[in-house]
Amino acid sequence: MRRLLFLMAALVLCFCGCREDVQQQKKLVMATNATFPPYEYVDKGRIDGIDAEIVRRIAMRLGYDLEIEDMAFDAVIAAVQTGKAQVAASGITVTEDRKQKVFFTDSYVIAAQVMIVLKNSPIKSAADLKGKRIGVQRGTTGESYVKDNIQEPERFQNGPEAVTALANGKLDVVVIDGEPAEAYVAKNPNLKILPEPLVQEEYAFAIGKNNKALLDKFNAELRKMKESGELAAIINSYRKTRLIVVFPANSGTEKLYTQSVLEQIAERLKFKIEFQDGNLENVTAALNVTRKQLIVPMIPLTAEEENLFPNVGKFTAAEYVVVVPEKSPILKFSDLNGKKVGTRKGSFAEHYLEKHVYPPQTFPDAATSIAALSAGNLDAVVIDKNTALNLLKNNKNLKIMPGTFARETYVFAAGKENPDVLKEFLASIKLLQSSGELNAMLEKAGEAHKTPRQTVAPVQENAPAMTDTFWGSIKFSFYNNFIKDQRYTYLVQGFFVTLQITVLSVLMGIVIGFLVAVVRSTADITGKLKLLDGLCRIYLTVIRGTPVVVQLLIIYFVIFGSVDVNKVLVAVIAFGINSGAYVAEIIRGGIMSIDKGQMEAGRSLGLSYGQTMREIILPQAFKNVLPALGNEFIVLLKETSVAGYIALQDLTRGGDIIRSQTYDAFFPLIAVALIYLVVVMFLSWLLGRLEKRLKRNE
Amino acid sequence: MSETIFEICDLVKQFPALTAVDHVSTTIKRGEVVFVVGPSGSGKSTFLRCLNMLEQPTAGQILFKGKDVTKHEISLNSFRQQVGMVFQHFNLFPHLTIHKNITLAPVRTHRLSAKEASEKADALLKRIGLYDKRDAYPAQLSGGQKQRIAIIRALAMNPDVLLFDEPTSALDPEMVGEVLSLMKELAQEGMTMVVVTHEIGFAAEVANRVIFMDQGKIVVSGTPDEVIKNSEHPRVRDFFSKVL
Ligand SMILES: Nc1ncnc2c1ncn2[C@@H]1O[C@H](COP(=O)(O)OP(=O)(O)OP(=O)(O)O)[C@@H](O)[C@H]1O
Ligand SMILES: [Mg+2]
Repeated sequence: MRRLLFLMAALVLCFCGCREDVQQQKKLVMATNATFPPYEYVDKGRIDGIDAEIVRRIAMRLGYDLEIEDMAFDAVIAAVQTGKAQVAASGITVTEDRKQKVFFTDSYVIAAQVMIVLKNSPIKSAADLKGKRIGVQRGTTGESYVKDNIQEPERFQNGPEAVTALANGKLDVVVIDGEPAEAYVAKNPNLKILPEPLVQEEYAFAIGKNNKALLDKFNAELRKMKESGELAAIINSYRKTRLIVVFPANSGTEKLYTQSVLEQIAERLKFKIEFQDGNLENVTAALNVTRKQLIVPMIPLTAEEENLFPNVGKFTAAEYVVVVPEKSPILKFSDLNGKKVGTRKGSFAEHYLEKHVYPPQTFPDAATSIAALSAGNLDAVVIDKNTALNLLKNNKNLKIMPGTFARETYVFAAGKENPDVLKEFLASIKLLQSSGELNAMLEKAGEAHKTPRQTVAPVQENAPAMTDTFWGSIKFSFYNNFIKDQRYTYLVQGFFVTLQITVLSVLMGIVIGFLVAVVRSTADITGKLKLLDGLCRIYLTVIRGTPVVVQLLIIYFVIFGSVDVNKVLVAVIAFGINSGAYVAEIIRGGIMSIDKGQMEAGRSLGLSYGQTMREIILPQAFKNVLPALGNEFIVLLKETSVAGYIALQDLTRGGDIIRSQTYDAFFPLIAVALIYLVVVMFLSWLLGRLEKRLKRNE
Repeated sequence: MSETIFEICDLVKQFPALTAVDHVSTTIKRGEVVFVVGPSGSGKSTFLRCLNMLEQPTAGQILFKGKDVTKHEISLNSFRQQVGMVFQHFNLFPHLTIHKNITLAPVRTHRLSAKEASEKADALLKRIGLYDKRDAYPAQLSGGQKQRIAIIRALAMNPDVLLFDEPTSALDPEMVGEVLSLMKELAQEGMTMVVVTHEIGFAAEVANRVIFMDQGKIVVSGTPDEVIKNSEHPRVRDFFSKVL
């Protein structure tokens, strides 16, 4: 009895142990459409954003391994419904329709649908939308709102595509979520966002109806995150106002210094800072944003150019003065030329002197330079005014020359619609200045500049300057689409995925095709295998009667709906089965085209049906149909371009990703087309050679 | 009397529209050379093709060395290995070399080892003077050469009987001779042969027995002299007076 109890206890323990293990390794798949900043976007090949971050943290706390699947937006709800993913997090708006299909967690954000229009558009508000060409992202609230309240919209696979269509004059307006809208518009100088949002909405995560337990866990975690302020912190960290600093492409030595100053300010005031190379055009382009964006043009602007900006605020961080001995022969600033001038190393003054006068002698700090001046080793010292006043209090032999030698001034610009952000920002900086913090920052920037800060400064690749000439813009576009951020890797990796799918499906198609063709022609020739023949006929009818995309989706969502399988495998199965049907008919045609005397000759020699088929009929049939088979494979290669429907990053999808990042259609599409073309031409050539070799036997 | 190879009793082959072979009975003994002649559409080919079951007979029996091959329990493959067939259009395998054409069946049916088959093929090729075509493909041969290869391909199986269906009809006249002389050689060596042909002269020279068919029936059967020259049957007379 005791032994039995012990055994049972052991069994129970073991059982619990096993369960625990399974629990720990459990995977949580999050479905998303990563073209929706700041909620989800691809950054350096990784999916990041508010949704990804929130779900990542919740998953971690619930003990799941998170896996993020990127797919079309209209597929994310289906993905949780079918169990492909456990949670959909893609800036999904809570709607009644969707509630029928899935559970929603508590909302984590309230967002707005806004309207993007061309800058010179006559559309001023929602009232003007009627009868216009309205673009939306398929499956979004924008789509259903426009459809229900205005008219049928034009649907796009993702936001960038809609925006590209708008920019190219194919649409009058794009209705889309507010936050990604800003990011899109920031990159396109001809677009703007209308100030009034079209409609407000709530975002929440979607969870399958069969997974109430997970829903409760998610809600519990969300509640905790809300209470602790963590949620707001995450959202804020992704939504920080951006400080975009535009440097001229050929910035000099002062660039690192300026970067350092602005980085410190941005960090202190909780801005997200971005550095861009460019020219005045980029500055105006970047300004076309309604909210949460400030531009710092580091390009010397004339007064007229400053007038171009609707909201400009200048801020002088420091004024630099010239200190000379009481009886100095230097009377005006122009007398400094050729004199021994000292300054603090790494300061703005050093860069300024280098640029406008000649290289100064530098000292580790202002006091040392003043001491050197007092000792007669220098003719003049350039330092900032406050420091100068301080240092000269006890020194009657030195004087400050009248007037300001140089100003360390920063120009900040904001879009027309957000003067408030600019005002607040300038006010904050003033506070920093009066508290002395700013001075510390300037000094620190000077210090930092002495030891090159390569690691911190963003790596600026050698972007060709954007020019107005045709070739210049081509060059820039090429750079932007392929070189920048190593975007070409999307094409390279996509190409290998395409190749992988094609080669494997071709093999599968040949196997299926051969089997079906043999069954079908055996039934034709001998009248046997009627049942199998019937099945094969159904297979052929169904496969050849439906589009390959639909087959792919059915296999992914219906057949493998609740099983977790590798997507390349799904694609191979789908395209293999599809191709098998065409291959089968091609080979059957080949078999039927062989003179029936061949079968009779084989059989009359005592070979079996199978032997005759294998040794005599099929080799000849195969040779006859080789051109048709080759053609089928070329077709298949091109057909795999719909693999993106199940979010496989094949070649076509690779081009799409680049487009969604650069809003440029020309280069990515042409590149994708060229790659397909080259492969197809190569295959045709290979096939031609193979045919020739086979022909040699006759 | 020598062994009976084929004993055919009341053989009937019906096609949906007509009866091609109509109650045919005859016996073929080892070493016999039987020629089947008659007007076009009289059922000669169908009869011949029934002999190796390329056509499934509708009724009647075909006893091959005493066994009824129309019965399902008989292995058709091993039966056919013993019955060679030569077709009007040669039916060589165009994707295989001449040598492979000959050795394929003996090897695949395990009648000969690969080595034996190869040696036999070479011997047969030398015999008909086509050893130099050993590694050529059928397309590189003339019609007469092709048909002679087809004949030795059948011979390589060591069959008990050879069936010929108009072996020279598809040949240019100047090539007919070489095929006929090979057939004659085989006949003289004692090969059992059933030959459907329009070469009446050749039949008269080589045949032990001639069968005249008309409308699916055997009208007369006898020595060449009896059938070709001295038949009393008006249809038979009429036919031979036209072709001779
Ligand atoms: N597979 C078939 N299906 C239907 N009818 C057939 C078939 N094969 C032959 N026939 C018919 O059967 C009859 C006998 O044909 P068969 O080929 O045996 O004649 P044949 O004596 O060999 O004639 P030929 O001298 O022209 O070769 C013909 O009327 C022919 O049309
Ligand atoms: Mg015939």
